[in-house]
Amino acid sequence: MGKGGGRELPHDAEDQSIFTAITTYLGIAVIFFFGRLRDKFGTITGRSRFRDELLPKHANEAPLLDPYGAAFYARRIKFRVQDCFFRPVRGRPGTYIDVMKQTIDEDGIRLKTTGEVQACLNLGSYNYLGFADDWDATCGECVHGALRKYGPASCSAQSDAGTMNVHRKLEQVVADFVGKPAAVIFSMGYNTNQLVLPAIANAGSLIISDKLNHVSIVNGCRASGAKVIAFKHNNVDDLERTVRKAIIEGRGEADEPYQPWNKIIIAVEGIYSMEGEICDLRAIVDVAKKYKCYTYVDEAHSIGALGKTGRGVCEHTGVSPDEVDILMGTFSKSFNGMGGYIAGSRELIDHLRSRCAGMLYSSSLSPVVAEQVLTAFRIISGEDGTDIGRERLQAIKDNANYFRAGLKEIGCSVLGDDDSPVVPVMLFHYAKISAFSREALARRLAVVVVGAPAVPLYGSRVRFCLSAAHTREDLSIALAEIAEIARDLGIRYTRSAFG
Amino acid sequence: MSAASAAEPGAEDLTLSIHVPHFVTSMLAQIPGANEYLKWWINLWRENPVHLLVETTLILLILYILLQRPSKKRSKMETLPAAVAQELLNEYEPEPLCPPLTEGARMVLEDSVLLETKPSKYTKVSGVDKEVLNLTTMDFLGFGQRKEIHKAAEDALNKYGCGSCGPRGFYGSIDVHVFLEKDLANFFGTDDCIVYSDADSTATSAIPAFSNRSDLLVVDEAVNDAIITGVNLSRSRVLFFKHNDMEDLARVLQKVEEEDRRLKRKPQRRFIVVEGLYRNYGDVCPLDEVVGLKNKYRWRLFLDESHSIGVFGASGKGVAEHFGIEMSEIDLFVSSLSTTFASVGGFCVGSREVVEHQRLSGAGYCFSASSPPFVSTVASQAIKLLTSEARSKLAPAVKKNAQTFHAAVRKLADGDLVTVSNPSSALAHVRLAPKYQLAEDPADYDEATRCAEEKTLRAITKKMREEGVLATVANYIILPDTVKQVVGSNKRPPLPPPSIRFAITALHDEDELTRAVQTLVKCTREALKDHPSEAPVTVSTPSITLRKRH
Repeated sequence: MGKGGGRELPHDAEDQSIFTAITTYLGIAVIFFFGRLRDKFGTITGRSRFRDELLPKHANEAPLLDPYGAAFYARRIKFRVQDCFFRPVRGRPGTYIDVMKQTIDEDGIRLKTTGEVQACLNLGSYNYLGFADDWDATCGECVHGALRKYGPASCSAQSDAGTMNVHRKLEQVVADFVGKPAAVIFSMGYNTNQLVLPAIANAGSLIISDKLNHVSIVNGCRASGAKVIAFKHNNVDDLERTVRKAIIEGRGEADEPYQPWNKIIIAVEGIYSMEGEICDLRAIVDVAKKYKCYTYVDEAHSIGALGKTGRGVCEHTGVSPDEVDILMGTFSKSFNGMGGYIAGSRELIDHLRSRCAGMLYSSSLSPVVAEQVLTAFRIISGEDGTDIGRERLQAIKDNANYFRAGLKEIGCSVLGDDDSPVVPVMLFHYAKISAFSREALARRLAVVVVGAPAVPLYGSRVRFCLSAAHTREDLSIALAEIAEIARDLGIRYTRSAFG
Repeated sequence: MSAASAAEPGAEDLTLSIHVPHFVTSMLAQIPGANEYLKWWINLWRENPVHLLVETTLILLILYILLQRPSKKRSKMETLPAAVAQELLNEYEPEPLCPPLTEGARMVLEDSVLLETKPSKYTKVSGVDKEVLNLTTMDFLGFGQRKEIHKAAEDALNKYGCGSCGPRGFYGSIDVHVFLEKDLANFFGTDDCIVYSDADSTATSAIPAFSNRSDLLVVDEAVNDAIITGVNLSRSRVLFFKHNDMEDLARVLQKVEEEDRRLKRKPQRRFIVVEGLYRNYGDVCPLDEVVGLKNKYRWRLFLDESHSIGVFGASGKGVAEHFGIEMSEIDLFVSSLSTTFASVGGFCVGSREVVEHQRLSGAGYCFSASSPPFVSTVASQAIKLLTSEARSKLAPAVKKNAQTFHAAVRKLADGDLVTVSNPSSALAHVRLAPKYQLAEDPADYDEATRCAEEKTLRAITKKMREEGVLATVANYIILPDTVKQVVGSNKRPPLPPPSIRFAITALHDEDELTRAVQTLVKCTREALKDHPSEAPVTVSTPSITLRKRH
């Protein structure tokens, strides 16, 4: 979910009719117009809940926040929809989640919790394999054991004294699971991308990145100093064109002598978190091999959720793990943990261990979380001697496909591919974000709505994340409720241009 | 009505002044109103021909500019013949994904320590038979081993399970995250607090959230890597000042002010970026002077207190409290939960404006899963312990231990080792004495001298482990001399000099620390036998300056 503009919508989202396009932009214009009007009124009369912000504090100093950018956005846009994001919850993020009710604070700006909770069907958390639901039965014992054995945290970097037996074990298990010779683990998934890319790319390298790659990849690329070129989302023809052009032109300017890139890295994601699309890995890997590029695949949402045995996008698209140079993934989704990993050749892993800031400076993964992930891996791969892992992988696939088909039947404009547990539905209008979210909450559905800056201004959507723990009944009820919301809000875009 | 008759009166009139071809008049006649328009033009021409010419030219020019396609510089790809292009494609041979391991990198790999039990005061390290005294884990107050902390973690695991399964924005805001933020804000006496799931992503996200391309950062040369990454990501203009040198800081600020006057710049956001206690040196920032300068020149202050929290200040709030500086003086105050708080993550406390903005713009907050709930309850419990015990027991204990350690190094290792840290700092960097140092200034170290000196240090720590004391050499990313690293438009400041890093905690006692220093001295004397007497001669390779691209 890259930030800011200049992004391209996936093909389905372009099916926006003229009517929708015009009203979407009109809606945004209205928000901006009245926002500015109210700012002006507040500045002149001093009668505004934001008067402290609006009146200048230091004459000589630039304001901390750009008054027409970030501050305006927070005041006039985020403020109106703040109840739809950052909803605090109580308890586990299982199939049913206790969402805390909120009301406006005395200052008239912020929300405070009322103390009441509302049990909702959870269609928002990344609880793909349902470990949050029956944690005590599946993982609890091992994890409590790790807490007693290792304590809650390591308080040290991996290269200092932050590596414990459980970390080494997990590294081996990850490497074996994804089918690579070696792996390293990091304490944060976001940091994995942000710190590993600078360790493998430098100012003479080129990173060809999918336009819709996650912010962590974007920031990793920027921090590396490498040149970054974005290619059209999941478009292999454009990728090939970009690669050819890059090799032929080299890294000098047009009037300089030819200088080849020291390496070209193609960075893609397994499942795009805001689009639910599965990466066309087969074709991308073929292009990479043809032109001797390296491939970096971020499996944050696909590892442990996609493929017959949960081995991610490689398994799903029939690509051997040997064909991908760097496999990255996170533990905060399917594994109910935290952190991330990088799997690759032994040389690459040794390189990262000795050269990556995540190894040398950042604290290592909590041993308790490491044990949690280890246990989850054991269950997924069936090493615990049960069928739980296999059943759950089947269940999440079935649930995702059932739900996706149900939404399509309602007439919603659904993005993404079959088998993907991420199912976004286009809302387009900015105003429909809050309307959908509130309507859903009133019907006891906890859903994630996404607007700018995570997606383009005109690309507002609602995103459902399915779980293996959802029952068919849960999903049928949810679909029935969503059908009513869709009718009331007019988002059945495949039925009619007017929704 | 025929065309000719309609054109008749006008045409006659026009021919008097200028010649209009007949086909034009007859064509115009078919368009209603065109004749009047033509007349109007001709009248204009009669009244002021120059005016008309100038204006027509201008209109045409504007049309030309508007309609002109942006001139596309023909790229190499289009100009090259297909065969040559194909040849380039065939011949392209990339470098390997990762370069062969350098000596410095191999040392980091070989020197790795594997813990077999919890990182308590005495711990078990793989390859060493007996238990070792742990002087590496940065759990400065020993909270990680406290029953209360373990109980908090256990209860949270029972209640919440392990992971939070989502970013804070999307149902990953579990109540304990909110409680922790309140606890931290109360502890520091600020409006609000934001918790990140990793310590290093805090500075890396907070700096770019407030400072962008048009802004200016003045940064201490010795700041840690996370801050450097944040500074780099912000794309702001960067100026460095010499480590802890207030005169240099004043000089830089003065220079900027003069530039302002000369260039009449519009106001820009400006931050002085410092650490309370420097991770890479263990010395304290003279924060009172920094705040004085900041106020004099009207700058803002970014302060990282990751390694001073719980150790400095009467109630353990860090170096700012130690100097008696109000929290309102510090615009961005970030710190770590993975040191004294014995947990995982980082946080930023400050005004509501500062915190709320990061909730949308702090990339590491917005776009990352939240930390597991038990991590937050552990940190909350640590704050409780800190509030109730810091003033009376813990802060004096850790301070006394640090002073014992530093005094012992000075006394016992006289002539062989020196400390570069503040005597009260729980984070102690110990270096070889100047006569053994292979370069004078951090900037003078190149890859070979750094590796040679580090090799001796690693030999010392290895021997110490065998003797029952666990300490590690401070690891840095040592890149070959040929790689030029840049921050903004500056050369990246040099790495800190090679050192052994000790983390002294409140749990240690005087005997243990004295014994540790005795072991250190003994091992140093043994290792110094193999220490090169002078800097190794480096084979000078042509340096490649890689252009930084954005």
